[in-house]
Parts: sequence; C-alpha cells; structure tokens
Amino acid sequence: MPGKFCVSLSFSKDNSDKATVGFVIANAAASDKETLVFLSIEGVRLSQKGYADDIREEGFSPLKDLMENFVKAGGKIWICSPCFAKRKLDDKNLVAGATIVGGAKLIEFLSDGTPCVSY
Amino acid sequence: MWANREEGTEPAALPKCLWPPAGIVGSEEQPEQTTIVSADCPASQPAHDADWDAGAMGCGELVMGLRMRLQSMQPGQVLKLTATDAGIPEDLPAWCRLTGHTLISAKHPEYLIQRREN
Repeated sequence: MPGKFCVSLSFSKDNSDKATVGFVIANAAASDKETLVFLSIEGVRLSQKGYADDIREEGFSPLKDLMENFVKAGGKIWICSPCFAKRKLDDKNLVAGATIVGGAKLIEFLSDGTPCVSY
Repeated sequence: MWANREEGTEPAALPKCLWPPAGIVGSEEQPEQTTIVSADCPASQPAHDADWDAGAMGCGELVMGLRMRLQSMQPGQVLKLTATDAGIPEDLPAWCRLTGHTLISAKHPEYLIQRREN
C-alpha cells in the first residue's frame, strides 16, 4: 500500500535502544512507503558520519547498517536545524541521505495526515 | 566596436539601464557609480517593502516571526528576509507552500517573500 510514513527520533547514544528501534521501524516502513526519519534533540548526533559506528544493540543489526539500508531503500533523514546548531555539529560531515531542515518542512510532510511514530 | 551600429540598434531604442548616465563616457572625472532603474529595465535586485534580518534564527521561531511581519504588511507587498540558519533553504519553501505566501527569490541567506492576497 503506497503512502508516507514518519519516524521521529530524539535519541542517540543517550538511549541507543530507542535509536536502533527507530531505524528498525523506519526500515520496515521504507520497504513499502515514502519514509522519513526526523532527527531532533539528541537524535541529531546520528547525522554525523562515524557517530553510529559503535552502536549495536543485542538482537538487532548494527545501527550503521540500519541507517545505510534505510537510505539505500530511498528513505530520507531530516535533521532539526536548531537542535543541530545547538550541539555545534558539522554540516560538512552528514551521513548519506541527510538534510538539515526546519519545522515547517516536517509539518508539510505530515500535513496530509501522514502517520508518525516517535522514539 | 560600435556593435549597436552594425546591428542597427541605437541607444534610444534600448533599455536605459544599458547606457551610463550622461557625462560618464569620455569624461576624465568618473562620477560615483549609480544604479539606474526605469520602468523598462527593472533593477537587478527586485524591490521590496520591508526588511528583516533574522540572523541565525530558524525553525519555528523564524516562521512565527515571518507570520507576524507578513500579517502587518499589505497583500502583494514583499519582505526581504536575511537568515543564515542552515535549515532555511529547505524550510522556507515548505512554509511558503503551506501558507500561500510566494517565495520570489531564494539566494541563501537572502530571500524575498511576497505576502499572500488574504
């Protein structure tokens, strides 16, 4: 069934379990739908190349692989701009498929009633 | 040289902004450079009615500030926004599509937004 889906993810190494499960669900959605992962708060750290390399939750694929497969499947990663700026992250070091956006971009994506789950 | 003559065009037939003000050509004293704007040759920078330098502001704060400023303007008027936030190039077009305002020009960090009709 075509359509869109959003996963809002606000954790990184401060809760690697949530960060991992967020991308597991995003992979499931991307297999069938136009899917967006919106990274905010601590989640924006996942936008940096290399950051997720050592995150591996028992029973799940490594987070790096989950993120790469998600993007290869056409998934989009949007990064909350003020959350990114607050943490002084590097906009020249973004993972593939990641774009820095503001809230209006997310609202537009969801404005047709697109479902969104949060981790 | 004299390409206009070879092409059969004379200065009077061309937009005024293609020709310097009287006194510049051939004079030893170069007057201060001026920008010439006429009805048949609009300025390279589109006109605007108000400016807002939002600095590094972005996301929800920025679009709320835009909403308030555009509400105080007349329909059709143009606001020039200067905003350096890295999310603006994606966010501002989305906000304009959502709200019905027109994004006339987007050359980060400068944007021209025309207020919607109602």
